Amino acid sequence: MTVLRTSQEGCWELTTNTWGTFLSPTRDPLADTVITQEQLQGFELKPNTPRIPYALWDKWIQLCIELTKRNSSNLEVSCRLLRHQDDSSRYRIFVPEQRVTGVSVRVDTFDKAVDIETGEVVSQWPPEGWRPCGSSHSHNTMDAFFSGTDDQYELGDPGLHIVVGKINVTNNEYVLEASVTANKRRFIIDPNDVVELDSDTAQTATYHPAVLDVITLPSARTFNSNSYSSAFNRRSSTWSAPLAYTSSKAAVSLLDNEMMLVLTQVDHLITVAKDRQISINDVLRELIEEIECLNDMEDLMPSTTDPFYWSTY
Amino acid sequence: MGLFNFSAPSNSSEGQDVQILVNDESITVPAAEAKGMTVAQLFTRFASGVCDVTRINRYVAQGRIVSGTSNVEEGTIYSGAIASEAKG
Repeated sequence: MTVLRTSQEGCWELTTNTWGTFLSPTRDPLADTVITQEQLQGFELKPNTPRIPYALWDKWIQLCIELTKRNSSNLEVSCRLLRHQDDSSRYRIFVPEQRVTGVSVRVDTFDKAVDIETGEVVSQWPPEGWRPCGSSHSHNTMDAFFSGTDDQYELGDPGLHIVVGKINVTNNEYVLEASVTANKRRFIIDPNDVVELDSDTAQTATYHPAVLDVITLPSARTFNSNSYSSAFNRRSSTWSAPLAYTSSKAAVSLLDNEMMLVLTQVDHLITVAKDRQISINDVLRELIEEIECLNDMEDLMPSTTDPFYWSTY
Repeated sequence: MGLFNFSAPSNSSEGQDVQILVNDESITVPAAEAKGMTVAQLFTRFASGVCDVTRINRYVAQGRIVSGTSNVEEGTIYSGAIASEAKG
């Protein structure tokens, strides 16, 4: 038997059956290592990994809290983490232009992003001398966990990814879930190993107000403009088209029958979830995400006709 | 017939290696394997295992933006910037 040893695709041998010849995978006779499942799935964080400084992290947390408590909206928000290319102990946090809801964040481009500390606006991502190293986003009052959407986007975005959840706006407490994604896999790590979660000094410095300029709230919420700060109101105009769509109740009423069919199916979903003792909240949350993804795809339709939108080739 | 005629991999000691950067991840590609590829092809072939290459919208080499259709030059470090995201 001749073993064909490739650089990337393992070992193969030519196999012949009554019909013909083909390649089939085979064991490597020169194999010299046994890897356990635990090793295969494990991850060891580099010792002395520089942690995100408390003063910087706290600005991000203040923004998460603000988006959670603003008008009791419980909104999510997202940021990008960067490290200096010559000194990995230096971090920056940028808030990219984004649309947020209570269960999702959508960022179409990082080419407009605001430094959470200085308010500097970057129009070409990433800023020179800095290397993207991950992200963080808020789950407002919900649990801190990585959703299906997070996996979809973060597994292909190697680095440190942190969810901020269970935000209590009364006492400013929150829960973190931290991970490193690499090789299109996610490894859960201890947040304490990558973030300074407390400080010797009691000072609290908040985020730069310019970050609010790049956060667009859900269209329906812009109706109640008196409740929002001027920074948020400035953004509301960007949602004029969806607003016109959602405000047209008469038009939607023409779809009453279809709406009823959907609601009947949602009822059925809830009943089945109860029967199988699955969290109804989780099921409905997943459903909302799916619906939002469909909506996002609709929003993107004109852009996807541009071959340069997603890629330069 | 003749389907199963095999060749040895390219001699990886020829030329200067090419380096790919995506976020903090670094991949070294032997010059011989990168030869004749465009930058976009280089990322698709060698960075697909570590990132979603379809979300890269910009390539940078030596501080300058380069087109995905330009030819790979040996000894060069290419970084790819992921452009978008969604969170749930």
